[in-house]
Amino acid sequence: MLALFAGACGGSGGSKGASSDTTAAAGKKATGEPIRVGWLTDATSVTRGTYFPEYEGAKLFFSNLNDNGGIDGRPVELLVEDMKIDPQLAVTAATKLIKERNVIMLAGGTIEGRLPPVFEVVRANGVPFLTGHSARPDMFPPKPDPLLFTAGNVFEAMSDARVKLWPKVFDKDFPNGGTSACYIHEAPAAFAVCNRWLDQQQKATPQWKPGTIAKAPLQTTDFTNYIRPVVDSKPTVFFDISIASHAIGAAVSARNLGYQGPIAFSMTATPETDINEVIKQVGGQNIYALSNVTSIDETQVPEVKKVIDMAKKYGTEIAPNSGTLNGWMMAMIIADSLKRCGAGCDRTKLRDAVEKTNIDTKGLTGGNIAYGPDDHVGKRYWTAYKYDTSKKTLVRVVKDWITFDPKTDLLAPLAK
Amino acid sequence: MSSATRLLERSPYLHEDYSSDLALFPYSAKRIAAIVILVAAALALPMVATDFIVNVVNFTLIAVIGAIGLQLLTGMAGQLSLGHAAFLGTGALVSSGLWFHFELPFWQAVPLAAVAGGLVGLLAGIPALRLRGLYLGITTLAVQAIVAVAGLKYQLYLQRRYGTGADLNVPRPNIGFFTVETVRQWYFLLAVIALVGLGFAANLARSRLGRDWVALRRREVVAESLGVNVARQKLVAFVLSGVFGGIAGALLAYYFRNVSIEDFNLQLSVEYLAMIIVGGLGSVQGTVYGAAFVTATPFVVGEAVDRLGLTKSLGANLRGIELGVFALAMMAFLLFESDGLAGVWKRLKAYFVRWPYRYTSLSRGSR
Amino acid sequence: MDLTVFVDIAKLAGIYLGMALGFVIVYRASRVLNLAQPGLIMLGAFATLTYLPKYDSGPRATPAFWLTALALVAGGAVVGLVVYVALVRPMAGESRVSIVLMTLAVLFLLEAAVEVHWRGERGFMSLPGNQVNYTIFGTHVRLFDLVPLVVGLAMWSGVAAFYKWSKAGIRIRAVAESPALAARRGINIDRIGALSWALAVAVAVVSAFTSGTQGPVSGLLVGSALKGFTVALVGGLDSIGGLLPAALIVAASEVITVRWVDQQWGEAIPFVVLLVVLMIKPWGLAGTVEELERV
Repeated sequence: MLALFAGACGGSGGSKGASSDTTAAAGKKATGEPIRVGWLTDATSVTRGTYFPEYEGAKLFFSNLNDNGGIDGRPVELLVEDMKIDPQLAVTAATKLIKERNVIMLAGGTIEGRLPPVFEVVRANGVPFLTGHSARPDMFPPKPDPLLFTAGNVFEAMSDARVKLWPKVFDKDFPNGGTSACYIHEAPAAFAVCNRWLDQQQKATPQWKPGTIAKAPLQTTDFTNYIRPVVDSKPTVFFDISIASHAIGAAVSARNLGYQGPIAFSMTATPETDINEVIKQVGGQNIYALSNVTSIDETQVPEVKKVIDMAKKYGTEIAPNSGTLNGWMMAMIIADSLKRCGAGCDRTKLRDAVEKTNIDTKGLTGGNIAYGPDDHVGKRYWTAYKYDTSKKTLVRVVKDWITFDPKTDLLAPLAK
Repeated sequence: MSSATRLLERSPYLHEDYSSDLALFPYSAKRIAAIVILVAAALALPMVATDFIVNVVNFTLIAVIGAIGLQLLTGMAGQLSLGHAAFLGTGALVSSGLWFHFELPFWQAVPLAAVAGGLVGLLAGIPALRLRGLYLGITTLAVQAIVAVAGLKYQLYLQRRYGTGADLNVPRPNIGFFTVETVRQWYFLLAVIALVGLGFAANLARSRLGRDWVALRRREVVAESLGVNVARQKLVAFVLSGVFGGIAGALLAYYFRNVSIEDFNLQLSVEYLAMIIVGGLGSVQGTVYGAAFVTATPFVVGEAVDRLGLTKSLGANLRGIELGVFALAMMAFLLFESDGLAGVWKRLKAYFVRWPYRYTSLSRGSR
Repeated sequence: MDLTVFVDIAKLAGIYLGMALGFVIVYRASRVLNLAQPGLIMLGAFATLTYLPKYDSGPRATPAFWLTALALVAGGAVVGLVVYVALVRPMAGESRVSIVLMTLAVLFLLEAAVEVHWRGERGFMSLPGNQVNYTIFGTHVRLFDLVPLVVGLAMWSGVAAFYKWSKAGIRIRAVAESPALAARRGINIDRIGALSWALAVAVAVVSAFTSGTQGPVSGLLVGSALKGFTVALVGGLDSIGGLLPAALIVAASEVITVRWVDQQWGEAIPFVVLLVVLMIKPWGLAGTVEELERV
């Protein structure tokens, strides 16, 4: 508790320095010795849609930061390596950044199955690593690995958070509940995403019953066979989470097969850019998105507006979306930690600084992100959106954010 | 000319008696000198190379171990296999599963993974008793699909039985008295296993079995009429292929500390096939060249882009460029040297041995 | 009456028919397994994704659409010619394994090119007719459920007719039978090879269209197009006639397994079915019995 408190103090001081400083030091380009931060992403393969925007968000943040004084006059140099979803590349990319580029910390990463090889390199070299969208149980309370932090989730935590969120999203339209179908591509994680969630959902809210679970192999491009049972079972709601090409393929298949009910995506896995692909094909009726990051469509949030402006100024390959915002938020954590770490910062000190993170996310999610010695995930905040066909944007259907604390809210323990 | 210099310059092609013809390592002073240099280089490598390069060499060594299996089966015995990844997948699943359930250490798990690979190899070999050529390829494809689905079902079972998040993670490898901690220690471990495997394969090529395989590959009917037990020798080839594949799979599991069955897909099988063809079908040393070529080329290209300072302009498409250059290099080999890398090596060697006389290819005539 | 299972089988069979056809065309002309075919289908799909005209009001069957589609198919034929002339013809006289490896190198090069140019893009082709639905015997059927089989059958019968009746087709068959003999009779083997490759890649582009009626374009297409290879093997690698039953068997076993047995085994069961077929008929359903060359 004391440690958490101390962390909170350090954090609030730091965030003032790092991310709100931009106006104070506006126009002053950072010129000192650069601080090198390594970033792993998938720039060219099938999960690019999920992980590349994160990198672009961080890139935008640091470009802006460097043009406005950097960290105490020192620019942050973001070095990126494309690891795709390949274990060999995971090892060599992480090794290259750490041993040859001499980065002070590592961030990003791709699918959770590819993270263990990176962890091995990280541990061998004592480098802190902040993962994005995908996390692993190694970061979770009560005993996180000292070097590993995340701004993302494990499937189990997402599933358990969904148990709380689901009735808030759908009880209004379906007061008597109904069945929830679930799609994910065929992978071991499918069990956590669909089975665990649906079991727990029924325990918590008996009116929401488990529906059909569909899983297509990774190499699938035609989803009809797999989605047909979902549509035939006439689910009340269809939850669709997977890598982007699967998620959009499954959704379009469901509509084409005649399913008119709500389809709920999981954002940052299927960000707005991909949801829009579906809408272009089959229309925007009854499209939902559950998210732990604010949608890029909430332009009234000043920080979101700022990211959009920065994207215009510095340019991005993928139009900014919730993934970009997540990356921006990760960069906020990194900049804040570097700031608190101060002069003479090294990997060990930076690790300690990251552990004391407690930053105000300025509306990019539902509250502060704070780590502690026994928790390298921190609270997560979830909300939900629905596509508004007249405004052509996602609008909030859950006014507030539900809070999910991995320390207390996991419905069943994670196997290590 | 003194006898000492004559000894040094004796052609490796000159065999004066049967024992020299049969020798696994035909004696020659040059050869010994080359071996000494090679060993010295191998020992020095981890001292001078960066972690990045040692990692790439380690990937290559694992690929060599796996490719030996395919070389025996396809290169020597002539049985096409498009499902080598099934053996690797089996080895990876078995070794990590043995850790998950029984905490069986690495040095016990790897031999068991080899056995499991061998068993799958035996099953995969049964259709070979009836089918040949490309049609045999599809049965090996089937084995691959079955292993992939079985592996997935197993991983799902773990989740259901032991709680979500139950994952096939393994610790650092323990070889009884020693735990492998760094990439350099890995290098020595892998080098020893690869050398033993290569020695085994080279020896096998000279054995009765190896000769049976050659006959089998050339013409099955003739082989049978010569008294080769075709069915048995085919199955032995499949089993050995599975054994090497299983070992390589177990090594991959421990190297990456985690197993996802999706990685053991057709793409991987095709890459292994490319290794032995690029290296030279039937050639044991070609296995090494092929594995190195397929595994390391993309990394070498990436490294070159980096050293030439082109990262800024090409970095965004680095992976695509790596793959593209690899493909172009492969095309160049096919167009200009169809005997594979082993053929290039042979030709270079022959050129220097016969200098100043002109070189004519030995292998071309015999094909 | 629920006809959906038949609709699904017919649709999948149509897609497989197109994907397998490219393998068979090249195999007939040169006895070479063309591993580049899935890459060519992927290339076709990405080109289609980018170049088909897009309208704000959704896809429309304008003349521009048909012209672009035609141009893409013709472009495919040109790509086939280029691949043949630049990479396959120089390999004449080499062992078949080397030529197969060359097609693998082409696959890798195509993957690299797509990666650099499209960088992991994914999306739906802008195809008109996307939202046209019918009700047939009480079953909800989309126009796009029927298109793959119609297109697949049209291509298949077109190619079969071409082989059977056209002069070039007869020559191709002669070359397939015995290249040396054909050459002695004055058939230009080179031209036959070029023609076959051009045809195969044009077919690949059409296959890209049919697969685009069912799902998004992405890098995963290489893996799903490889299934065409399986179908070709079942039919008999050099047999056009065997393709249709083969496509139906593979599609049916897949659809039925996924639907009623198990979604995961749906991936593997077709192979098991094939295994059984091959154990009974080692050269596929209608393949020529040949002394297969050693590997």
